[in-house]
Order: sequence, then structure tokens, then C-alpha cells
Amino acid sequence: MENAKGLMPLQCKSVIKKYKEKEVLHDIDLTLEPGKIYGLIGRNGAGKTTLLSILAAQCPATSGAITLGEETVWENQQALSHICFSRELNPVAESAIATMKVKDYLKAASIYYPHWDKEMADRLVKTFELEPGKKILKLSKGMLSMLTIILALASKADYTLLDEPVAGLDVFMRDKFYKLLLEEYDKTGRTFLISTHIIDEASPVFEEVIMLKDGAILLKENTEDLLSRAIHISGREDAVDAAAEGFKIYHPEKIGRSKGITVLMEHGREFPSSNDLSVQPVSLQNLFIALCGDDN
Amino acid sequence: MNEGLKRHIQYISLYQGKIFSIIMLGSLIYGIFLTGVMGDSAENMVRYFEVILAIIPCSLTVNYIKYQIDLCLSMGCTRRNIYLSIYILTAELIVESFAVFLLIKMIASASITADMILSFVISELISATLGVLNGFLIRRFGHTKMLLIMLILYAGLTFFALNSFSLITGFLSSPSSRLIIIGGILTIYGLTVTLFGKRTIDNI
Repeated sequence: MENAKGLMPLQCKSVIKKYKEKEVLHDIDLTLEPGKIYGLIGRNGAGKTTLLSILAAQCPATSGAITLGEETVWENQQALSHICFSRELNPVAESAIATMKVKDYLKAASIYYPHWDKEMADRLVKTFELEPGKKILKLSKGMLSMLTIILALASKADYTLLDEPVAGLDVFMRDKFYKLLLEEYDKTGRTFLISTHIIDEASPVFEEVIMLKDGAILLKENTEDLLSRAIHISGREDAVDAAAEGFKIYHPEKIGRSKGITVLMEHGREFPSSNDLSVQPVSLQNLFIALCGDDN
Repeated sequence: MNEGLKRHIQYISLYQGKIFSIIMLGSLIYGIFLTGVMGDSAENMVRYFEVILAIIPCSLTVNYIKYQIDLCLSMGCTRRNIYLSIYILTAELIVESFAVFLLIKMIASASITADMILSFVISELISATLGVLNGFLIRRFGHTKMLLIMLILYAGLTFFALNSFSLITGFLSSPSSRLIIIGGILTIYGLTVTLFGKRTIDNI
């Protein structure tokens, strides 16, 4: 990890991605600073996997560029050696992966990733109780996730992108993953970008959160700062409406004469206190629902 | 050679060596079965192995392009290194197959002539070209549509391989015609990789 390139930011500059006529990513500008764990959240079809693929130069952008420091990542083997995109494995699709054994897949990874940590990979195979001789096609969804986690962690890439790494894992294995991730982060200071749908569970791990909505970045902010600006207000409808005047309201819910709303305050602004209202902090998942739900 | 290409070739060699060995071992067992159990002649067994050798580049390049490219790209290999590896893979296959070819001829106690070697190289090149073309066509147009074409190609290739040595030897009567044939095949091969490969792999 002690190289200059690893300390450069990975940037996405004005990236647009179209599949035929359909634009799935709209003018994305994003900077990933080294030494942080980022969470990438968005609804199904928001463009998370496409964005991760483009960042890792596995999928071409229609326009725009990805750079690591000053260098373009596309077709740049030197830059690519600092990036690992551990995508969801889909062994049903026609690919070499389906018929490979776990040990062969990890052997291939050891050849391609210049900083591969074989000792770590072997240890994780034992930790996750994976059978090295088992074909990937025969692995359960949880086991496939474990394999993608092993690839991501043992690659030792400075920028490691994980696409839904905990999908299919039970609560104990998810807990184990977060611990392993933090352990690795503490030791190496690598940068991780993790897409997930299990938001509340992962949010304590994310230093920054990137919210993607309909192919555009809705926000990118320090998780603590973001949550400190978000509040849920409930009370009598008229009292809530009066207090919320001048604030942008998200996700209004009405139950009889009561009303609940979510407010994301601007930096430095405070919500007026009132005895008639209940003001509660909002979890990242609820904030995500409020900002990206259908009612917005 | 850049570091990425070295790593990619290392992987390809691993994969190719494994499949090559499996095909040869399987063919050997089947060949022995044909010769021994069916009471077939040693001459036919040699011919049978020549057919296998002629089909190997086609099978391996189809397999590589159809199945392996996604894995290589997902592990950070560049597209440029993938194009280059197709040429390297073919060259390596010809060299590996040639060793088996020599062994077969030695077993059959046949004298090896320059024409024989040239016709062998041409067969292998044609086979690899068909494999590359087929692999890219499957990627671009889908497996189902291409299955029939693939079967026709295989059948044609088998027929060609069975007759190639006597057919090609006739064409190779002069040095200029040898040059034209090999040059022509290499051009077709290059165009196939460049035109189909670039368009296909860039869109993955």
C-alpha cells in the first residue's frame, strides 16, 4: 500500500452511460479519496453496478473519464493494478467462472492481482468454511458472496469495489464480514466502496455515503454529518405543517390527525423546538427511503 | 512485454495447458479403445490423432473467447492484452500441437517432410481462425443462433482435416504458392481478430 498511486484519488468525471438509447448514468462526477470506506446505496436499477463497473474500467462509459491521480484508468494496466472490483458472481450465466472450482478461481485471482495475499485467502477460505475443491456452480448464494469477499480482501488493491457483498449471507456471516473489513481497513488504510441494500447494518462502517437515484448522484456526504442533519418530526398535522414551513419535506405519512415527516436540514440550520412535536433522529435506511422513495 | 500481459499469458497458459491435456488424454484413451477393442489399424489411429490436432485450435480458441474473456476482464485485464493474447494463444497452440504431431509421426515411423510440416501449420491456422471467428460470432449473435453454424464449421473442419494433407500438399508445389497460402490465412486471421474482436470486446 505504500505507493504514491495508491494515495491518489479515483475520480469519475462527467460520466454518462447509455445502453442503446437509454441513459442509465447522467453526468456523474465523483471523487473517491484514499483511505475511506464509502457506502453506495440506491434502489434496484439506480445504476450502482454500472457505476462500479465503469470505475473499474470493466464497462466502457459512453462519455466522460475515470482517472487515478492524473492517469486515465481505461486500458491502463498500471492504474488497473490498484483497483479490484469484486462483483456478484452469477455462475448460471455462460462464463468460465461457472465451471471453475473455488481453488482455481482464487488461483486465477492470485495471477491477476499483483499484491495478492495468498495466506489471507487461505485463511478466509477456512474461516468461511468453503470447500476449495467445490465447483462455483454448486455454491449457495451465501457461499458465492463469501468468495467475492475473499477476492476483495485478499486482492489488497488500493481501491476495492464490492457489489452487494453481503447478499445471501446470514446475520453471523455479515457480522464477520464487517469485522474483517474494519480489521483490514485499520491495518492497511485501503479504500473500499461497497454497494448494499442492507443499509442500517452497514451504515456504522461507512465513513461516507453516496446515494444514487435514477442514475444520478443525489448526495455524497460524511455519514455522521448527514445523519445529524436528518430528523423525523411527528405530531398533530397542523403543528407539523406549521413547524416545517420553509423546510424541504420528505416522505410525509398521515395517520388520522397525526402526521410524520422527514426533514433534511441545510448545514448550520436548526429545526425550531416545540412541545407539540416529537423530533427523532433518522436512521440512514429511513433517510434513504425518504429521499429515494416513490413519493418524492 | 508489459506486466499485465505477462500475468494474462500466465493464466491463459494455465487454462490452455489444462484443457489441452484433457483433450489429448481423452483422445488417447478413445484412440486406444478404437485401435485395440475395435481392431482398427495403427494407420487409422495416427490419422485420428491428426484430426484431433486439427480441431484443437478451433475448440480452444472458441472456448477462450466464449467463456474466458469475461473472467479475465473482471480481474483487471485490459482489452488490448486480450487481443494480443489471442495471437499468442494461437502461436502457443501451434507449437504445442506440433510436438504431439512429431510424436505421432515418430510412432507411425513416418519420415517428416517440409511439406508435411507446412500443411500441418496451415491446418492449425485455419482451425484457429475458425475458432476465433466462431467465438466472436457466438458472443455477438448469441449461442443458440450460432450453434448450427458452429456444427457446420466443425463438420467442415473435420472433413478438411481428413483431407488436408493430401489437398494442401498439391497447393504447396512452389515456394510462392506456399507464401500466398500462409499470408492469406494470416491476413484472414488478423482481420477476424481485429474486426470482430475489437467491436465485440469493446462492448462487453
